[in-house]
Amino acid sequence: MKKRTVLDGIQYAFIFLASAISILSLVVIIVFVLQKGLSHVSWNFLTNSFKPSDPNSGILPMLVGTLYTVGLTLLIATPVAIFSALYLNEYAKESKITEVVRFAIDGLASVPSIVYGLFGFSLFVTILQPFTNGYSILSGSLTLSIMILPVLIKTIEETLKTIPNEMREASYALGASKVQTIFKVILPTSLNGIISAIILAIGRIVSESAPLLLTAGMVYYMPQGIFSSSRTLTTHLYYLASEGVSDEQRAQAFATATVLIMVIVVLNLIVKLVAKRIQKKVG
Amino acid sequence: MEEIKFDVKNLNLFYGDFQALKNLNIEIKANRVTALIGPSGCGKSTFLRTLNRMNDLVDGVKTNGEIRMDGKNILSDKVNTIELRTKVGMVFQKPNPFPMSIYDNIAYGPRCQGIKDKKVLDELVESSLKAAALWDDVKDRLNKNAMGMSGGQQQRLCIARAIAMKPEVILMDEPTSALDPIATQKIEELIDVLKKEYTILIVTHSMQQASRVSDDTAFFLLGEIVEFDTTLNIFSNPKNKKTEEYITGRFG
Amino acid sequence: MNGIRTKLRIDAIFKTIVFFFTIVSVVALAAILIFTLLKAIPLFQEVNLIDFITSDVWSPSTNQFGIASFIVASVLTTILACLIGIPIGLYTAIFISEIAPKKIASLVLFAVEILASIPSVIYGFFGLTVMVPLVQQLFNIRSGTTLFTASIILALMILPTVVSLSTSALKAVPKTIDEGSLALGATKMQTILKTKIPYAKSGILTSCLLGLGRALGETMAVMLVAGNANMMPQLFPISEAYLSSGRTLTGNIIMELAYASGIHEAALFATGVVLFIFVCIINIVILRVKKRGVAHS
Repeated sequence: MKKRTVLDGIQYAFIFLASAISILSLVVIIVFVLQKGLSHVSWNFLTNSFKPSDPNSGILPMLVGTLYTVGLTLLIATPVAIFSALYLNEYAKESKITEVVRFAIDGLASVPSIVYGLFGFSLFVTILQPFTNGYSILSGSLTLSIMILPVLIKTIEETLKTIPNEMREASYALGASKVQTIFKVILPTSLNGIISAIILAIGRIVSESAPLLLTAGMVYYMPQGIFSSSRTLTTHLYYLASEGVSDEQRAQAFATATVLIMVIVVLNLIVKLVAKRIQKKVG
Repeated sequence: MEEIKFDVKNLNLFYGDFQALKNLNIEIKANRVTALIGPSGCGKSTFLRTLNRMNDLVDGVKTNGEIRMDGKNILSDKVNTIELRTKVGMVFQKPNPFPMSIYDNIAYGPRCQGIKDKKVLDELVESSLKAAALWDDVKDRLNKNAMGMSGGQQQRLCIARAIAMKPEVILMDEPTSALDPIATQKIEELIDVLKKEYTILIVTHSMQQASRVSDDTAFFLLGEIVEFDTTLNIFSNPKNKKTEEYITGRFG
Repeated sequence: MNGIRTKLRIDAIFKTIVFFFTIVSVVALAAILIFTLLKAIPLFQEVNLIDFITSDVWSPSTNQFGIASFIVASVLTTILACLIGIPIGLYTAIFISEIAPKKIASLVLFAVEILASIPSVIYGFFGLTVMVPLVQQLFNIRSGTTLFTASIILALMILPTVVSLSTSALKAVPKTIDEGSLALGATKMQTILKTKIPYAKSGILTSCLLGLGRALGETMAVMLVAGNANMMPQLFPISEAYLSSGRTLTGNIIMELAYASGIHEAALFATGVVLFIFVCIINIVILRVKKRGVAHS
């Protein structure tokens, strides 16, 4: 009996230790970055342009570049994902074809982002250069669109699956057509789920760096449109971290990281709120 | 002689290899309540769902035979299911209002038919809710989400929603199985009123309910109609031994 | 009547649209594979596959392309990251699903979600500014950019994957399983370790494999802290390998792609193909684990 309690105690110790490490690593990363970066985040930092040697450099072009990339990627990927999820869940009967589609989607969700980068580089930057202007926000967004597609389709499909079949039957029994059922019942009912899927996708787009490095380039000027090459916050941080040696650039790096972390935390909180609203609605 | 609403001839239905309905022949009379009874899995719900072609939505279902509604075969490929369902309304086992306002739930069907006039819709909503004996309960909160209502109210809303389509027939698939006794009683009273204007078919597990609300009763067993007669005859003087055993509770 | 016919026509048109978009996504996803493979082919007209994988000489200027040292660096960092990250993740999952009060559990889970969404470049930056100097001092070596440092950062990065998926696997174990074990006089801990974990085995294993995949595919964080030296790590003693600088498969691609052309470029795509094959193997194993899990329950 005594041996048992000792063994249990050791296990408990491990469990608390491991949990402490998990939480502390998050706290340490965030506190460390914020403590060194927060003081440098100012209105000027957010609204100034960037020059490599200018100590008053800001990140406005990168903020704009990030916004462009997020917007364009969502514009391309969301409709494709919603329609694909609708097809898989509302139209396709279970068959070999849907099995293949699902397998492709599952498999490609776990392909490293660098492979998407390779693909985007060869197709959008090189072969389609006349259309995309090579390294550009367009090339980057097209690449990221394909990259987020599997997860986006899957999360939207999950949402569609939570709609009880009775809801569809009720609509058909009232003489509604399939399109009416989809647009008046299925999509409105799953709206919150779709929104949180999109916010999660925004998080991924904001966080991604490797594929953008290979497709959107590293130009630090203010983007003039989707055909401009541009840095996002992450690729800018990469540049500052790997090449910035001066104290001034280190400070800028910490400040950029601070902005990134704040964006991510806010996005996570929004997802939490939306999820809570969904729960309320269902329960 | 009463008018016949559905004339079913040699109806067979298969789920893949499984035959769920076997050579059914039945005449459902208009403006009466017909109860479909029988043990679980006997085909009564499946039969109900052939009358508005809801089984079309299930993969691998094949039907043959005829169901003539007012003389027209509704199983024909030429029949438009959307149009059919506007004439044959349905109320389901579990109340299934849409997660939208009470008003929008009622207006859903008419809107799907292209009715946009606010005045027309307002009137429809009011008359349907009144017909479902729900108007007084909800007239002050038509814009509230229907999910906030009680189960019994939700089911009456689903009936009102069906009525708003001005159907000729209302199919009810165990409409009170998810409700408490008081809510059940309200629905049963409602059915009694509604039969003056509509032909009603109700699937039920409860013998008492069948005897309380229906005029005619069909007893289903293993995909066949064992006996079909007036409710009075079925419950007082069943001709078939199986029917007798079932209604006296010796199996099922 | 006319209205109904229009409705049916709209239904048919919409079905076509929806199907078209599905084809678009499938084609886009298939294109990834085909493109990467096609772009890799020119390499194998010059170098044979075996040499490519087993040679540790990577010298684009002399047209020598061997990725053995990158494979070794990727495997080494992935293994150590898993050795550190998986136990921590698993124990944290036990804490969340079995021990912590509801409020604390959801707080820890939220922390883990944020950890999952922190950009990899921030992990890399944190590693560069905190871990690298620390490792340098701790082991008294010339530079702290080592495979060991990369492994630590990767361990942190796979933590959320392991935690969240293992937590859901443990939570999915039916209550009757606990009760059965507790009724036989087992302690809570024995119940967790001997009954629940074996029951949730397939989900937990899947979470570990996905973590492994994430470690293998990670690029930016590793590149910032691993040093990226183009050479084979000295494998004996193994500590020597971990305390030296190294370049992973992903690192190799991102460092050289921008200025590569011709066969050099093909060799980088081939590196991507190798990475892809690794991921495929992991996925196949996951599929097997899941199938066995289904058969088991």
